[in-house]
Amino acid sequence: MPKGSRIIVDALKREGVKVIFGIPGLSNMYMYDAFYEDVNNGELRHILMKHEQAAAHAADGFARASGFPGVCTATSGPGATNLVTGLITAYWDSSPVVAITGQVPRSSIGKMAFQEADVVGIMQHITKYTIQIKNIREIPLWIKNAFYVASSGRPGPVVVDIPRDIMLESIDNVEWPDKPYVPGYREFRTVIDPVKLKRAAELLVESEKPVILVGTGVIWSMATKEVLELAEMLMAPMVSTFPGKSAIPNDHPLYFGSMGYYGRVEANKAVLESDVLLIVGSRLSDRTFTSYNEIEELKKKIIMINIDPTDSEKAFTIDIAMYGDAKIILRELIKAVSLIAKKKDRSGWYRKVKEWQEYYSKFYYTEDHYSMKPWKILKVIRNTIPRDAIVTTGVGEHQMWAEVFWEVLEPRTFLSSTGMGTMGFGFPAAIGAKVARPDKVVVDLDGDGSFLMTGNNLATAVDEKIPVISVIFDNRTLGLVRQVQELFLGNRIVGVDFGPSPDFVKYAESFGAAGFNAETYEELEKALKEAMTLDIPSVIRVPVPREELALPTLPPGAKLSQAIVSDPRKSS
Amino acid sequence: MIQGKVVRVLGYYRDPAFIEKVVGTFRKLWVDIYWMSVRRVDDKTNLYEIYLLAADVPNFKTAILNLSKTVEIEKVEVLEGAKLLEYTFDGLKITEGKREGNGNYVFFIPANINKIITYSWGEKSEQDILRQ
Repeated sequence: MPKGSRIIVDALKREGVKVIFGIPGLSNMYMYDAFYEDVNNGELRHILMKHEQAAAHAADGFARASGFPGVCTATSGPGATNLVTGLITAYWDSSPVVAITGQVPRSSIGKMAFQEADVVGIMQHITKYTIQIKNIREIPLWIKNAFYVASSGRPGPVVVDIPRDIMLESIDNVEWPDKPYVPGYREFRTVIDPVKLKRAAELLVESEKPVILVGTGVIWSMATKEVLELAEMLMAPMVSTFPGKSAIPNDHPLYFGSMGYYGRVEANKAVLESDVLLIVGSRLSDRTFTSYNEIEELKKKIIMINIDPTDSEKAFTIDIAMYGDAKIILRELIKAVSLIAKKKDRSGWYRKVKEWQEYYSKFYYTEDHYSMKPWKILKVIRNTIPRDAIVTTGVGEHQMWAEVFWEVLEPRTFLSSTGMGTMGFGFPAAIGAKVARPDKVVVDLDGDGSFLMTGNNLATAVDEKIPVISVIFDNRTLGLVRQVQELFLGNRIVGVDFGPSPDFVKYAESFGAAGFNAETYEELEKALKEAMTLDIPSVIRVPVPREELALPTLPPGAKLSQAIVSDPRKSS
Repeated sequence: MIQGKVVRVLGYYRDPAFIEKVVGTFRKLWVDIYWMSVRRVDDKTNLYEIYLLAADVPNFKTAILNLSKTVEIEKVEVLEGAKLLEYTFDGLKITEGKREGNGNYVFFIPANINKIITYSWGEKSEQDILRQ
């Protein structure tokens, strides 16, 4: 007669789970007891994180790197509430995470019991779905359902909250469902509409200045090949959303960078000046399009391919909206474009965008002789680590530098909290990515402020022999906030600057990790090369001046056309 | 009764979180709800029906779209043109209009619907209603 706790573990294993990121406590410890043998015989790996937020980020990083839902667990009360930031981060970036939370016994729920939190009340508005298990017989179906909901349609996190007394109950026969069954849930349909496909193909073929905007949906539907094929057929410049960077090899000659708030000016300009914009797999966030009116007023023709049909109704007018899996629809669109069999010379348009790229490069790639420049730091890293290395970021100025300067060369190799902007994401996400893809070099590009929010998980990386490399852009300040204070709030710098603590090399070493201080590009390259040979995590501290800005940027509330590309302090 | 749009939500109730989820979708977008009526339609499947009157503000459409792709929600119908008619049951008879009083039960019936726009997991359909 298996107990509820055993059924949970078996249900997870049936879904293919091999790794669980978590922290045990009073209400989920029976699940731990149940997987004692599985962990010891190597069928399951448990990774003990140092904070539940990091467990959720690690599961998220695992999911983004592998395409398979990441799993995390926490106990009731504070354990569960600590997951909140990690889960909303996964939700905003459409990442499939399954969280198993222990709950107080059924008889205690709602009575302010020890370590009780209203998990359903807290989580249901910040996840794709949250379910509380009411009896032991529900476990097999709802764990199956959790994986189905998390990974289908627009992916997202799902929480399964299980009272601990259910984990201790037993039943004779466990009914294992063959299929998920979630009343009131349907995957978005893929609609192949020949009329729309023909119209879209005609618009694209006839366009003088087409642009393809690539979003995260291309990653989840594995449609990179199709996007490239279409772009090459049309000779259409490609730009991406910030997370969409990970869908396209950034060294492709038709790719002009990510657009948006901190995006490349030439990418914004290409979108603004295009006559036909094809958007693939993007929810049109306010980070990508800072003003919907700006796009509406340009009256360009817009074609959208998206899994979620409701996204097309929230921003600006979409002329042709095609809903469903990006890969399937793109294949059909490619066929429709081929049928028209008409080629148009767009070399003039391509040259124009290329000229913008060259022009703005003069503003981006500046050098001085007394400090290390972020673009060059990223170039050294790119040139030193393998093409297929996975890179994560924290949140802050370093993330914006990565948006502009990091070259993603393989799909699923750039993971960043772009929707929620969660500081502390980078390092635990790197742990998750490395666990998912142990064959890859994994580098966390981080800021001092962001890294310190979850840096205590160095202990986990050391204990579990997860050799991720963190490169800390150490400017001793919360640089992005400082930049806004300096440029747009009358230079009233307050509450952002750090003192000399900590020493990142000593900090790393105190955990048993390797610490490097790289004060030149040569030292950075040397440190990276050495770090890649180690079986322990490494922290490489790179000093960056506090005054270094993240450019291009926009004034708060501005339109894409109002980008600031050069340091306004110098012009004044 | 305050002006707004009448909405019918069909979904599968598991616990009262179902109702919180519906209400929360409007709350998050600052769309006020002026009236609600909730009932179980089917004992076997726990299908519930919610009628509500929500403020007709710019975020209303977004709330409807978001609700229509929420797990447990089967479909959301916007009852175009609907007006809520007030009635009072005093324990013996139903009369038109609102009569406050001890034990009186005031209820509302959506009427004058001229069109139903249905949203469900990315599908949208419209149905003209000829009768009133």
